[in-house]
Amino acid sequence: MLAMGFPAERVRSAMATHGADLVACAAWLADTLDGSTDEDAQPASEPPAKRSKMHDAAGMSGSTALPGPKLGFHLSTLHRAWIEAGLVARRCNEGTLSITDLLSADSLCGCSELHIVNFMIDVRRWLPITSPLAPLLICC
Amino acid sequence: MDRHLRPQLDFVVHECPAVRTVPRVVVVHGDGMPPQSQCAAAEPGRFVFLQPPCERFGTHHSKALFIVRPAELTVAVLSGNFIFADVWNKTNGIWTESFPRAARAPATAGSAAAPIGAFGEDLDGYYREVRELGILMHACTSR
Repeated sequence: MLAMGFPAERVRSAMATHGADLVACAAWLADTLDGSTDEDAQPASEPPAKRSKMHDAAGMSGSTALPGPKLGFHLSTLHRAWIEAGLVARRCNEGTLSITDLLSADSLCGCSELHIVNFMIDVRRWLPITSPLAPLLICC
Repeated sequence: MDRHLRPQLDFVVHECPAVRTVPRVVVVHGDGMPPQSQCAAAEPGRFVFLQPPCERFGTHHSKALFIVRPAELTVAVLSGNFIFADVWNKTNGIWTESFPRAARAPATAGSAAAPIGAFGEDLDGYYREVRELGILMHACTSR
C-alpha cells in the first residue's frame, strides 16, 4: 500500500487496527513453514539463498541440475516497503517466493515458451449487470 | 492502478525483465479483452493472447505460470493475480513443481504409455486445449 502511494498515515492507521493480527499470523506461518520456534529470532543478516539448491518437494522432478525457483509450497514475498516502514518483520519474507523469483533470468534460462494464465474480470462491466443498483449506491 | 482488473502484463515485465528474453509468451486471459500492454504492442510477435471460451465473466479464476524448456516443464500455481496489489501487498500461496518431458505415446497399439497421474492428465489436457485454441485464433486472425 505504501508503494502504491497510499498515505503513510492511513496505512499505519489500518495496521494499528488490524496489523498486529496480520503480522502475528504471517510470523506464525513463517515459523511453522520453516520449522523455527524461536519467536525472538533476529532478522537474517542477509537474504536467504533462494536458489542455492533445487527443492524437489514431490520427488517428481526429473532434473535437479537446471536453475529455477524453489519447488513446493511457499508464501509470497511482501514488498520491501512493508519491512522498510517497520510494519512487517523482516523474517516474514524469509523462505518466501515471488514472481521475480519465478520469472528471474535464472528461472527462464533455456525457456522456449512461457504461459501466463490469469483469468480476471472487469468489475466495471460486471457490477452493473449483476448488481444494477450498486453504481447508484456508490454514487450516493 | 489498473481498474480494469486484468492481468498487468507491463507490471510483470517491469518486475521480471527476463520475460522479454523468452521467444514466445502466451497470456491466457478471460473477460473478452486482452490486457492492455505496451510491451506486447511493441513486440507483437513475442506475445500471444488466448482466451478460452467460457461464460461471460468466466467460471474460473485461475492463476498459473508454465515455464517450458526442451526437457522440462515448470508449473507454478498461484493464489494471487498478476497485479501489483496481489504480488506485493498480500500474502498469497505459490505451489511450484518441475516435470520431465513426457515420453512419446507408444507407436504400437496395445502397449501402455507410462502413467502420468491425474495432474499429468490435466496438464496434457491443458496443453491440448491451448494448442487448439491457438490454432483456432490463428485461423481467425489470418483471414
